[in-house]
Formats: sequence, structure tokens, C-alpha cells
Amino acid sequence: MKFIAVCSFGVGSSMILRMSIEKAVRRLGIEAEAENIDISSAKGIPCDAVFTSIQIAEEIGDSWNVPVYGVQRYMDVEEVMRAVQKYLDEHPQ
Amino acid sequence: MEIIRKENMRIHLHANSWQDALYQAGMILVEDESINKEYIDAMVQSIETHGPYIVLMPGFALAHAEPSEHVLKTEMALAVFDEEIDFHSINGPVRLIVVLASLNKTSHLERLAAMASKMMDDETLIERIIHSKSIDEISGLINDELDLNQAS
Repeated sequence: MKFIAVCSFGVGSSMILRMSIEKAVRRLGIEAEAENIDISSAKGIPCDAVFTSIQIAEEIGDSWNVPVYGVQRYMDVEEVMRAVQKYLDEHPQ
Repeated sequence: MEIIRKENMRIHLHANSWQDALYQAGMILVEDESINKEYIDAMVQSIETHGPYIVLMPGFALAHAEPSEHVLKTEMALAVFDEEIDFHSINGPVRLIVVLASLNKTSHLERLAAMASKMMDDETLIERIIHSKSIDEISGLINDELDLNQAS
């Protein structure tokens, strides 16, 4: 699986979200890689799911061909785990 | 590793708006000759466009804009405000702002990752920084090498 973390510039917030995703993935015991990227480059990048802020998730909506999940507290690994779990539940492998 | 230099930390700041708070926090790096003022404008612009997603956790904002010619060197600054600053974020008001300026997409990563990892592993760290009595105390919480080596 490949997840991407998205913010406006792909350097600050999204990098921190990527770290939380990596920690969440380890705790969930699943095989997945994560990458952080800016919003303008992210569209069309092949991946299984996109994680970003609630507001950017609403901005993107369903205009991308991948599931998008909003995260409120980027450093709350428990919340990120719930978001990743939601993806897993909605997209059984 | 020193994550944020003590010279770039300020406490007991006061701001009357989130824009004012970003300006004051950004000015630490202007005075340090790491950025010019246009970088602060870009940080404000980013929030106006994409919302206050820089409020990563309750109480804490990671202010940053895109690497550009307005960044003169990769650097971070830390500002603690005496009052709560309202960014209109679902994560609530902010008292701690860390400003990130990066020359490119990688030069800041090690230091930012070290700080973020500490905050993820210790849920009380942001509150402890906010309620620190001195810059030495904050530096002790953030720049502690021993903890860095243990961070996962």
C-alpha cells in the first residue's frame, strides 16, 4: 500500500503527518509506505489513499480518483491510526 | 543536535490577532537574517488560502511557507504567547508557534523530524513548553540529545 500526506507546500505539516502515518502503520502491523507531497503535485500520483487536513480534504472532495481522509490532529498517532483503519475497513484488501 | 537555537526562542509575547502572532514569530527569523519579510506574508497567505491547517495540535502551530528566494538559510524559531491566539482552527487556540524556514524540501528535515517525534511520543510536551518559565527550560525540553537518540 502507498499513502500520501498532503499539505500546501509538502515541506512542513505534510512531513509531520507522514511521520504519524508511518508510526500508525507500524502499530497496525500493516505493510505500507508513506510519502509527503504538496497539493499541486499530489493530484494524479499513484497511491492507495491520501491523508490531509480536514479543510484540504473538503477542498479535494471526490475530485481525485483516490480516497481522501481528513486528519484533525497531525501528531495524534491514535487519530491517524483510526483514519488508516477507516481506509482499511472501506477498502478490504 | 540542537533543534532550535536558544537565540531564536521568545517567551511572554503578546499578539492581537493570528496575523500579528505570525508576524512577531516570523520577525525572529528576519532579525536572524534567515528570511525576509515576504516569507511572513507567504505564511499568512497560505492560511488565507488553505485554512489554519498549520495548527497541528491543540495549542501548537507550525508556521511555514514554501521554500523560495525569501528564505536565506534553513532555520527554525519558537515563540510562546501569553494569551491564546485564535486561528479559527478546529484544534482550538494556539500559544506555541514554531516557524520553519527551509531553503529546499530536505534541508530542515532532520531537525523538524526530531522535534515532531518528541511531540508524538510525549503528549504532554507541547503543554510543558507553553508553561515553561524560561528559555533555558524550553531548550532543555526540545534540545535534549539523549531523548533524541531514543526517539523512534
